[in-house]
Amino acid sequence: MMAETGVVLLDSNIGRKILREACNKEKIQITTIEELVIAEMEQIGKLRKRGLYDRFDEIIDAEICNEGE
Amino acid sequence: MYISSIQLRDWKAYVDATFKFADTTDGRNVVLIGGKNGYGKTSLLEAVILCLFGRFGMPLIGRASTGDTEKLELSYNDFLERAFHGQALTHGRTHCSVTVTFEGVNEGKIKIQRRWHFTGSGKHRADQEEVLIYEGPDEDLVMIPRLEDRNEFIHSYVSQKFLMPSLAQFFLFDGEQVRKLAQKDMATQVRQGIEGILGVPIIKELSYDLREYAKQKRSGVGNIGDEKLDKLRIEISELEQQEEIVQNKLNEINPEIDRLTKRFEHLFSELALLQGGSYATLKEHFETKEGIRRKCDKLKDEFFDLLTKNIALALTGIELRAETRNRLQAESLREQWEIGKKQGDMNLEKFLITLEESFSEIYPSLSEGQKAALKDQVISSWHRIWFPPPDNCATEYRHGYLTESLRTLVIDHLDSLDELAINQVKYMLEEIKDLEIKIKQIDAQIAQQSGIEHELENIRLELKRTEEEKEMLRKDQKNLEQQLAGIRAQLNPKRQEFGRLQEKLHSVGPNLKRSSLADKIAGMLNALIDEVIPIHIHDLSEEMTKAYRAMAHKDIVKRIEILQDCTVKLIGESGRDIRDMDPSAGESQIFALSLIAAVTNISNRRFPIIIDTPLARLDPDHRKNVLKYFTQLNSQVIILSQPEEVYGDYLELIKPRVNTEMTIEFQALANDVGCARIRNGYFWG
Repeated sequence: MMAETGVVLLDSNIGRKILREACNKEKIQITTIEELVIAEMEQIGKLRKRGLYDRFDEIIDAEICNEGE
Repeated sequence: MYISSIQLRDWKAYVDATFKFADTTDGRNVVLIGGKNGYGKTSLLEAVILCLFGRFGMPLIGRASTGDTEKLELSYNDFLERAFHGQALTHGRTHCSVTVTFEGVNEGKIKIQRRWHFTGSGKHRADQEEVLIYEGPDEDLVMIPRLEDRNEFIHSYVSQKFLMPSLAQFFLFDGEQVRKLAQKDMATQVRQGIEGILGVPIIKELSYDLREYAKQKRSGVGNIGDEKLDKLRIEISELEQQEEIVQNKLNEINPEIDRLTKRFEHLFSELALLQGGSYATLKEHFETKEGIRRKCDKLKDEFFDLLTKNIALALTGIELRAETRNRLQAESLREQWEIGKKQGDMNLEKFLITLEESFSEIYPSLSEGQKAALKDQVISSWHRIWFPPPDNCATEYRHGYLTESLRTLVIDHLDSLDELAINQVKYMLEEIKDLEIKIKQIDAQIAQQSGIEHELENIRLELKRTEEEKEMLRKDQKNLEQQLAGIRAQLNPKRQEFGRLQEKLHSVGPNLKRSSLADKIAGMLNALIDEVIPIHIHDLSEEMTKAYRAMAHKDIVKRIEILQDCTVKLIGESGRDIRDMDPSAGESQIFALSLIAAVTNISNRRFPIIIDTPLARLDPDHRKNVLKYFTQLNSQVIILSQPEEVYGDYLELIKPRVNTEMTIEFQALANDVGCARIRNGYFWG
């Protein structure tokens, strides 16, 4: 079940379809993209995006771990 | 989702007013709020915008001057100071607030309250701005971080729960906003619309942040790569080979030097031993030989001197040498007598002068004759002292060429010859012979000793060769050690660098992977945008066509065509862009409203739409169409209207959709300050 990112580009049927295809091609989990988008949305309007890179680390590390499995 | 209430305190003309809206069930989704110009309709729209977005809402405020961040900040402060109710301070109130309550959300209810505080002189205290968020039916207060994180948190919260700022202009707008949209190039409007709908700004922002993140991860890694490590590894390997070669040479040289050292020490000991046993003997032989030789040489010299100088005189015999000696002595005596006499004559002259001077003292005085006779007598007496000459005194000189000293030497030499005896010559010859025999004997002994010397010389030569060879090897050893030190001076830092890089590479390995993956995702997102936008352009053009055809009273536009570059064509019956034929035919405000409608539809956001006097510039047919279109949307639609805008047929047209009717009334107070109040019912109701 795809998480609601609040971004139509990713939440719309066509957007989701294209994203899924791209993720399959690049062997990246679609949830990784969703989590990144949510992490970015949590920073909207912030002058300094504190903690964003730490969140990126977590999400990307999880993706890397998944690659290794 | 709908707004159930908006409470304003000391905001603009509102001292304390609460707009309460019914829910949007039963197909009644429209809130109709009437108010004359200047009574506070736009203030209500601005209150919602600034409550939700704070200073980030300033670009959406139609009558606020906007520009760069600094101007926006000044504009925000300026706007708020003017928004703070004119009589609040005189009544001791130092803050204003807006509270917007949403219902129909996941949490059931969310209430957002923003408070702006002011100084006693009415200056906005930017650092004291407060936001309180309550969630759920019990209005649980949401914990908001303090200080700098507060605005970030609220902004994020609003974007996630309600609306992203990029879409806000399509939901919260007034006539001014529509006019601005209509004035913009259509391609820009469309691109903004599409990007707003799709959330492209957030995806672009994410893509940018991922690139920056990847860059940062790479920068942590530096330029470390297998290539760099390999190069370092090769360099270390080469140096290690050189080190091994040099070390092997040293390993060969060192034992050889030890061997030569031992050999040298052995030879030296041998030499010392041999030298210690022979040297004294040899030295003694040489010294003895030298002493005998000197003695022999002296005797020979005496003998040859005797032979060459004295032998002839010696052969003259003692008598002749005695007569010669006597003659020389007689001549010596004569010379002494002559010297005495000569000296006496000189004294006689002085005596005669003295005598003559003394004549005057004689009494009676002497005559001249007497004086002369006396002088002659004295002279004669003087001469008689020297005559006759002494006995044995020579009458003449035969050897007048000799001085007295030479004469003495000759006499002494003749005397020595008298002592020279034939036995003495024989003895000298025998002694010389004996000495020469002794010298021969010593030479024989030295010759015997020279055999050891030869052996010593051989040792010395070998010792010298050994020392030279050892010295050469030591030079080689020193060079090799220097080479080794040089190699190690290069090798050690390289090994350290290699270890450091390996360790770093090991530790940054994940960063490389993170960087690579982040770049890959960023590229994927950009590709996604490029792929999805054209698809949504098609959706948007269809939605805009519907909205435009629904709102425009002329039927000349059959469809709106949006190209990939977001340029827009209003295709007429003939299939041509009607704006090519009639530029005014585009009806830009209707187009802008079509865009707003299409965006709100496609966005799937159910955020309430607040429209502030959108119809003022439209003709009656357009008004109907626009009202009809927007009120039929599924979202809550709050229409802020002038009395001349929604009335009569227009009002009747939307009446079935209206769930709340309110009117803003205004009472002028002193000093150009007024007070806005709300009453239920729309104008005449």
